[in-house]
Amino acid sequence: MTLLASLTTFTALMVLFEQYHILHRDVSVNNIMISVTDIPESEASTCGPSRKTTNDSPRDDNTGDNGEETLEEKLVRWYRERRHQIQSGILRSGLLIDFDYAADLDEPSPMAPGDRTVRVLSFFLSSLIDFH
Amino acid sequence: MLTFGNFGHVGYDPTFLPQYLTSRTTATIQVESMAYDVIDRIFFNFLIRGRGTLCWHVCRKNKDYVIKDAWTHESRVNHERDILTKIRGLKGVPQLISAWTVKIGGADDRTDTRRSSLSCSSDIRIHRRLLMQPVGIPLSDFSSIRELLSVLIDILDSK
Repeated sequence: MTLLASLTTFTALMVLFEQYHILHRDVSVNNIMISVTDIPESEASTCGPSRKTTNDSPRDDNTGDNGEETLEEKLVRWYRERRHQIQSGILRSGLLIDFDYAADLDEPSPMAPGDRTVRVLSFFLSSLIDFH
Repeated sequence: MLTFGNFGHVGYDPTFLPQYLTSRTTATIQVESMAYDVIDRIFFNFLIRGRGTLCWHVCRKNKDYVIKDAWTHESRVNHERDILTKIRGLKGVPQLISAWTVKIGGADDRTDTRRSSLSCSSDIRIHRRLLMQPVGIPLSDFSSIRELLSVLIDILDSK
């Protein structure tokens, strides 16, 4: 739990919801894009891989180390490898766009004409947050 | 007579200048007092009625931006701006640089001033532009399965 918890983060959608109380409400193929910007170097150091800096296929060193890897260790390793690949430009990162339909649950929702979903959802989710 | 009319009077949007009217090599779009060079149109749709959203990849001083140009309903003029302002700094979402109501001849560009005879009071739309970064490329342009999955994880799992 310890190591994994330090790396595991909420989903972008969950961060939007839990931290900002925002529901995107229009996640689609068109609204997920590939971003071409890089992650700043400063963050590279915090989660950069310590030993596995080589670009070997991750599958190859599964059985290295102490023979058996727990699921938790695997997830941590995959996370680090992915981060490292993004930082070194091998992978590009994702971008969630178009907040036109997004609902801010902190705002008393002004009802847009023809849009009746917001209020019901806000009510429901506000109760959920309070409960939480 | 129309031929000799002023660019704006003929019906064009004077804040969007085609290349032959600019001193540059591209068309330009204005946001606030700045003109941005148009690189590409990255989104449009064919709907006749609606927000008429257009997205442009633009460039100014070697920096790339996206301009989202849309006719927003009067009741939610600042909706997307407010949301984007609230989540500024979050990774994996657009970073808002500025939000501007298009001004023509000093006045806001609105459907009720442009088409007063056709305008319906419950459906007044305001011409808005959001200037954002970074420029994204379509998800379908992924270069490997690994990248596609990684992008999806970013949306589902980002700090």
